[in-house]
Amino acid sequence: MRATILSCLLRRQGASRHGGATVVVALTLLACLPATVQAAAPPMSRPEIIARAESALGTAYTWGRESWNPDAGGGSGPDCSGFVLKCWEVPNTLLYQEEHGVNATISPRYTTYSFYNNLGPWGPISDRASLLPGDALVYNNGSAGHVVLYAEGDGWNYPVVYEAPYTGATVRRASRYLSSVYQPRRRYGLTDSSILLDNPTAVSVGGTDVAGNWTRSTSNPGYYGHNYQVRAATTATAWARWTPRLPASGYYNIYVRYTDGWNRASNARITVTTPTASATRYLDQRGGGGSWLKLGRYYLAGGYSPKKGSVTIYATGANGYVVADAVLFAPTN
Amino acid sequence: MNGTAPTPRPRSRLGPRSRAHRILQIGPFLLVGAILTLTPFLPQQAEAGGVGQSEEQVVVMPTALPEASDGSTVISLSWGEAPGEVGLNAPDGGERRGPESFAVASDGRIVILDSVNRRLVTVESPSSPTGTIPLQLRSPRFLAATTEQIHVLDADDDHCLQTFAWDGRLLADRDIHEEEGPVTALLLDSDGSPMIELAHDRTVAVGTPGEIHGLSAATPSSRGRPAGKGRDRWVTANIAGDGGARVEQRDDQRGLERSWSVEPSGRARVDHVVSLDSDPDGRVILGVRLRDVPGERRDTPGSLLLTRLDDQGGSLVLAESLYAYLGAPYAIGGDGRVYAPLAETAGYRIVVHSFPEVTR
Repeated sequence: MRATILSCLLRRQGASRHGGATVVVALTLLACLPATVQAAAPPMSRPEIIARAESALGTAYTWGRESWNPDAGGGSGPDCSGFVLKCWEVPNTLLYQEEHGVNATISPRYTTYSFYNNLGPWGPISDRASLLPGDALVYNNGSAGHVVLYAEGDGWNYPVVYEAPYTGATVRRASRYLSSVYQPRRRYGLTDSSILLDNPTAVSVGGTDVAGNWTRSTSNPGYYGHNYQVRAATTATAWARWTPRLPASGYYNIYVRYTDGWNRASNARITVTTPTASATRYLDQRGGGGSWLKLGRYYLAGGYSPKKGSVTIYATGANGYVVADAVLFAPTN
Repeated sequence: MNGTAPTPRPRSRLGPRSRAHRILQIGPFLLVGAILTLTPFLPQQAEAGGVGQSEEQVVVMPTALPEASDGSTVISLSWGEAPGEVGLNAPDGGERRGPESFAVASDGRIVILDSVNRRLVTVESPSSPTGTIPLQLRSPRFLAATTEQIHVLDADDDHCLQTFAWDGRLLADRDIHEEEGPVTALLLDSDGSPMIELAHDRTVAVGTPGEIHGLSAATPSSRGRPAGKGRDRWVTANIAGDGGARVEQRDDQRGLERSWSVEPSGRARVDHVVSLDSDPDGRVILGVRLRDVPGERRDTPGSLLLTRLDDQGGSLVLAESLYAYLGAPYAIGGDGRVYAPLAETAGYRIVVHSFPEVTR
């Protein structure tokens, strides 16, 4: 049952017009639950959190409610803390799969006060620079509060969040200025720390991280997210680069995804940059599209820097169209 | 050269001038470390070029921030729903709400998005009465204003861009179908026509009223934000490297004109770019929020840093509002000054700040 519902959610995410540009996929953490934890959080992946958030888009903010019907395409939705609780499947709330579509509430329950003061199975993050998709940002001043789910940072690293904002509005994915009162929080029991960067990230990183006129397209199937980027062969400078914000130094398996076609390059140059070296190989994009192609296992440094860990694909010197779609960085033991 | 000054980093693009010439030009303000306190972002012009060539500057962040600007109040409104007031709502749950946006026209008039009361509040001048324009939109968040028109965008629920005259007449009502977002700003081009920015990356011109405007991948767009008057000039900003940022200015005909590389210094790091604007003289203003320093609380004001990226190198620190519901923390007025909203027990204020004159 659970698997069925999750796969349903993930399908919805794939079909959504709000599909996340950055998604962090599944597998580690589970350790170090502090003594303040009220109840253990079940293992959960970041994609599942994001998929749940996507399934709530368009539902109407309803104070005191923590459920929504992901198949209704609207209707009554959760309030802000109910939204995050359900996306996180926090114990002591009604189970998501048992409740969706039912106008049920539970009282007392976790609120923004609980999020802010770490009174549940979550904890603080040292700073916002460490935020990953599926984390939360919360404030509570004793009389009012709000909590949002972090989706990604754009090319400005400006936060894009999922939130149930207020009465009269619907759950949305929006770019929001969040002042210093918002503190970052992370759910315990997350099962993965891989990072997936879709092509909008490569585009939005702009000046320093893309060169040449890449356009977006949906012509060929098999792309990840909304679309992919494409650039005709050229002798001019033209490249796109994915730079992850890595939580820690270590070895990562790196995968690339593209859409193939007869007019694609058979010699698309792609380079992995590590703190100590660069490795180059050539992709034949006339076949093999629509799946994750492993580039190799590399040691990358934590943080965010093209010099510490990045992947760059070039249209320069190619013999056909070059596609830049998505790159996955999966930590290895 | 002074040993404490940041090292100029020549980026030899096409500049015909010598680096020594440039160092002589900027030498006086590289001499004293104290100047860093007055001008947190100190531009260092590396090399320059003529027509068709680009110019690059390295801007080094300070190790210590100057005091936040106090500014001066231009308008103060009480909380409430009567004329001349703006609403504040502290619900049982959900986000507290107050005015979520405001805009300043080039003649100094101010329009405030009074979200709670579902209306616009117009302020002709600090001493004159205010006006109100009712709104039917559910979730308007973005505003832009010229001396003739006020544009209001609801990108979240009603997907609509409405245009009003300052006297309240509805001039246009456009459906906006966001297919790829999120919307990050409502901007004006050099003619005062509205443009919608997506993901702080590309800008889409909004066309004729009556059409349905799709913001899809196929919609013609421009990279960056419009800058300057009478020319097709665009600026972009991006996070670059570890705690830095990069700004580029392009012209449709001439390509890349200028660029600025903002580099970290000490423990100061850019967390994210807050805004990228230009003043009436076409000078680019970069606003950043500084990254939290582990072990130090950042819930005190003072982490918003604005830098005018011109040869003067003027910088300004703003007290970051503790109220996220006020929307973007500042806006650049038509007079080139910086307007910032404040929420207090008594009511809502807009404070104006000016870039300090840089003493060389």
